[in-house]
Amino acid sequence: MQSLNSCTVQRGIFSLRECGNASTDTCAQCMRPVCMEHAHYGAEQILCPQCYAASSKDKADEDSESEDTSDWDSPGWSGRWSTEYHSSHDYVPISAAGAHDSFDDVDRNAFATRSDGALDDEGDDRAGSSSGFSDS
Amino acid sequence: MSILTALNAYLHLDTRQRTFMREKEIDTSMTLEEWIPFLGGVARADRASDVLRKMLGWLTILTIVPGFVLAIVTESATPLLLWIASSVSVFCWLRLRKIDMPPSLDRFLLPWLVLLKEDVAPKSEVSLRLDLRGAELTQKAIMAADMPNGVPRSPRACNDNYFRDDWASGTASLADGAILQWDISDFVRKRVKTRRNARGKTKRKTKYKIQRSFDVNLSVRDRDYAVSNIVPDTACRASVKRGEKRTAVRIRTRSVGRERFTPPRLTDLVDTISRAYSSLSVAPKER
Repeated sequence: MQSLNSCTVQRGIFSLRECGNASTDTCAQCMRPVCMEHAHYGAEQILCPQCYAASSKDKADEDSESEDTSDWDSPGWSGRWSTEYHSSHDYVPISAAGAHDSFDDVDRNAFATRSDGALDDEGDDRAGSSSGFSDS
Repeated sequence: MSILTALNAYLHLDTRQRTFMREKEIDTSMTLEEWIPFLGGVARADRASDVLRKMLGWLTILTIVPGFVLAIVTESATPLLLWIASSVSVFCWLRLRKIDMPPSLDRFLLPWLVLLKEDVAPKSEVSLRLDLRGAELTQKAIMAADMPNGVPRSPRACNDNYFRDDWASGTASLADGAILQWDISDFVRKRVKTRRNARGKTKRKTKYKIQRSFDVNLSVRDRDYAVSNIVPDTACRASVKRGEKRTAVRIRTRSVGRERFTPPRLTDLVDTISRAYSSLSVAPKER
């Protein structure tokens, strides 16, 4: 399970998963926590790869940007490249297969069934119950 | 300045990197955290040596011509010194050309490995087999044909040589449990046309045609992904092989080019793998 201080940038080209590294900064536009690897230090602000790609989209032609491999050793290049690739190609990356594993027992218990097969929140609809629901 | 830069970049290489620069072949497994500095150091040294080689080329031209002229005009020792300088620069130029790496390393392989880092399972080893010696080697020749057009319609000799160059392949375990194998091979046709003109001069023209194929094999666990059959496409060949626990998706795409040293487009390989992933959907979780 991801902690609150972990980087929430989705990484991956073919299948997406959360980065999970310890965050060091916050994106100035979407306010999501980002780690050092995924932070883009611009002249004025720090951006996540998605916001950075969106802001730089107007500056250059998409195809020429995504095929530019000369600066592969600059920090954050892979994140920029994959963001530009996803935005300029038809391919939508699949969510990682192990994504369900990020739900813990508390999440699962919310949907747990009783011995009679009904969901636990079914009692909310019973008449006279003190669940706080009322007809509008 | 560039002599020092090139020397410094070369001296920073370890024995394995220098061996790779000389032999241009490697077949081993390492983590990407090891592969990228390994190949990156070689690419940096190659970039520096390219600059130096260009300078040496100019130095040779600038010393050999005045040396020749001065040898005729004067009787001083200057032409001798210029010829020594040009001989040294020619020697260094040839030595540097021996360790010159193709642009595919810097413009395709390294960016690909940096991208792969986004998807590869942490701390897992990536197996790579690289052969950057080029296609025109005797052991890579597969066929030769004279007069491929049948009857010679003009006084022209036409000779075709075909080479198959499997220059890059690799295997990686991805973070989602899939195993990715890729193989890039070039099928090269070298056509040499020779003809004699009216004045009896023999002219020769060499043309290349390169068919580059990207073979991708993506093996996924059945408990993670459901694989749907791939819709046949003119741009690629695809097949699905179902096993007991894993399913393998195989895709082959091709591109045709005329330039020998043009590195492949990174998007071509990524597109091929994306096609394989497009046939997957996350399998429902069994509880």
